[in-house]
Amino acid sequence: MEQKPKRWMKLDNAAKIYPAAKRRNWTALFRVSAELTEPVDPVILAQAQRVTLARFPGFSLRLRRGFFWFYLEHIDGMPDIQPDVGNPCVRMRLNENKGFMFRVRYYRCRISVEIFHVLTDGTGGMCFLKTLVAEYLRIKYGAEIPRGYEILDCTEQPKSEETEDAFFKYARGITRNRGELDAYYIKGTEEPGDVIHITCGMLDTARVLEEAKKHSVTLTEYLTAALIMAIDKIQRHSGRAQHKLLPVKICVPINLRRFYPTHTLRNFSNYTNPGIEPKYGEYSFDEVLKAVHHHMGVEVTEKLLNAKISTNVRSESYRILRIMPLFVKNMAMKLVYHFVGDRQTSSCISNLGQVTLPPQMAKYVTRVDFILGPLSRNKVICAAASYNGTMYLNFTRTIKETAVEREFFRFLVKQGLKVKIESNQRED
Amino acid sequence: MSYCVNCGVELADSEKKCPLCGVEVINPAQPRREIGASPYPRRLETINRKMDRRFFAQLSGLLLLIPLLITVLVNLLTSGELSWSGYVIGALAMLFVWVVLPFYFKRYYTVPFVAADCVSVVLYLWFVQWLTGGDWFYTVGLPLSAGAGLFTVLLAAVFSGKVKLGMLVKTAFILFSAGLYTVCVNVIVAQASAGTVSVGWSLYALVPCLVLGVAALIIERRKNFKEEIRRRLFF
Repeated sequence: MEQKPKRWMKLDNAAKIYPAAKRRNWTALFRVSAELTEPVDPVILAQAQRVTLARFPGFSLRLRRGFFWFYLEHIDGMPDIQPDVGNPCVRMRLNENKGFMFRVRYYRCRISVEIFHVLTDGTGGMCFLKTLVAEYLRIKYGAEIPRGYEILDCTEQPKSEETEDAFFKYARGITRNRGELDAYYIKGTEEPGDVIHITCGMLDTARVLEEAKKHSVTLTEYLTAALIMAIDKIQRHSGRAQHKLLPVKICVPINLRRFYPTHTLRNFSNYTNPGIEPKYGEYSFDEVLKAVHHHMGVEVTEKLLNAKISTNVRSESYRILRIMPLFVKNMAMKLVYHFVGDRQTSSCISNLGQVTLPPQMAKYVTRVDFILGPLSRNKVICAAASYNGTMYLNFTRTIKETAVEREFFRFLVKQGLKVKIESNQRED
Repeated sequence: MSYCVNCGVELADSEKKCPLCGVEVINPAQPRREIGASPYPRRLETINRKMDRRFFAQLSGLLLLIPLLITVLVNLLTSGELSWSGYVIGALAMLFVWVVLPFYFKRYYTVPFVAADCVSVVLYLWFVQWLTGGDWFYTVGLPLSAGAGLFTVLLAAVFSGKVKLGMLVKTAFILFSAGLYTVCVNVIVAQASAGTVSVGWSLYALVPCLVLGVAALIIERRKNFKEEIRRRLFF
């Protein structure tokens, strides 16, 4: 009997860089987690994963090498449920976990999913987590949770629109120069690859929102400006001459689903880098807020974002590039990632925004976190998510020095906000 | 509920000290505070941090065999005997001692490895003479290379970090040994070519070396003068 050919798909436009940039002790990961009211039962979690995975064909994939490109091949089976570790987002080996590119972990009351960026972005990851938790609650408590686009109905068949490459679909082809000035980057004593510091700051969302409203900016803009203030202070105290101060810019990922009517669960985001030029003088907080706000006003528009994604789509469609064998492409992409990658920014702040759950589900879920895995040059980065009136700001750090978080949270405290801190620090 | 006195942030029960500034949490109202459960487990996922040195050594040793075998084969096929390939074999053996050998050990032991490098050079020279014939090795080759090796090992010992000496003392040491070695070269070459023990041109090199070396030692002893020079010459 002839075997059915295996289902496979191409990597989406944004995912292409990640397998090439991957190193022995570094993988581009991110993590979403939900904390429940009671300790997690791994057996039920495994059942929930089985049901959820059937609904998310975009997660049952493994990475294969073609002659010209990497591709994603469908795999059957289930990854194991793992006990959590003290250093989240440590590199993922693609041969572990049966080839799956995500891992579900549990610790006490918390369910966490760590995902290789090849599969999806934060929005897709959050959708997976919500569905997984909903299934878990359904099996454990018989909770009846309404389904929709954010919590998928696992009795339905997967839809093809959920695995579409939206970049290709919506790019109009008019490109735009990607060049930008290199930014100041945070220096420090580097930790080995398996040491990752997480510092979480918890704030009252309503208070932060009120503070942002007072300056008539959005919450993301407010946090970005605060982070710029913190890094600007660090650069000024680093002893650099005034005329040699480098731009301080923060990478802010943007969810493109806001602009296009797609329900894709693969990567569909872009970024913009608001910032200031400290060499021209000392900025007040109001000036930084203004700079960030107006930068976002210009850049975060459908037109300019479309030009940006068109540039990326165009660069993968060059014939000369396409016919190069994969190993040549890999070397080129490694170089590009190393020399361009995150050189244009000093740090990154990824705001997943308000996470809402239907009340039938919310009564079991006490907290939702979003954590970015380490980047290569930006040693301290931040991820934010709000749930149930509390905002969770998770800093990921791969250097010993805590200067960025310290200055950032102290700045927020000075603005009159109440901050509660917890971390994964250990006593030894 | 405790606050960091330094940062003004509230700290979760799990924190023994402030994660931002490292200041220990001391709450006078709660002298014996219960430390709450950490949000993360103690177990860590570890990455093998060190490159497997021994494996690297074996692999590169194996790779060295490729040029070696090809050379031997070509030599055998073209002239029917092992003649010129001997130089390549010797050179590869030297390369092995220089580059690959240190990887068999856990770390780089400076003095023994440098000594091994020097010995390998001497042996290679002897091997070259053995292949080609002649009597230059014992009269010139051995004394020159062994002398150079000795000074290199001494320098490695002085600069390897274990010996605590001032920079000026080290400079004096280099100057003295360079001057001395020049004299040795002079004597050995004169002995081999003219058969007489005489010191000629090397004195022109020896005198400035000695004078500068002594000057360095004197300056080292005069702390104020040293400071003065540092002040004038900083850049």
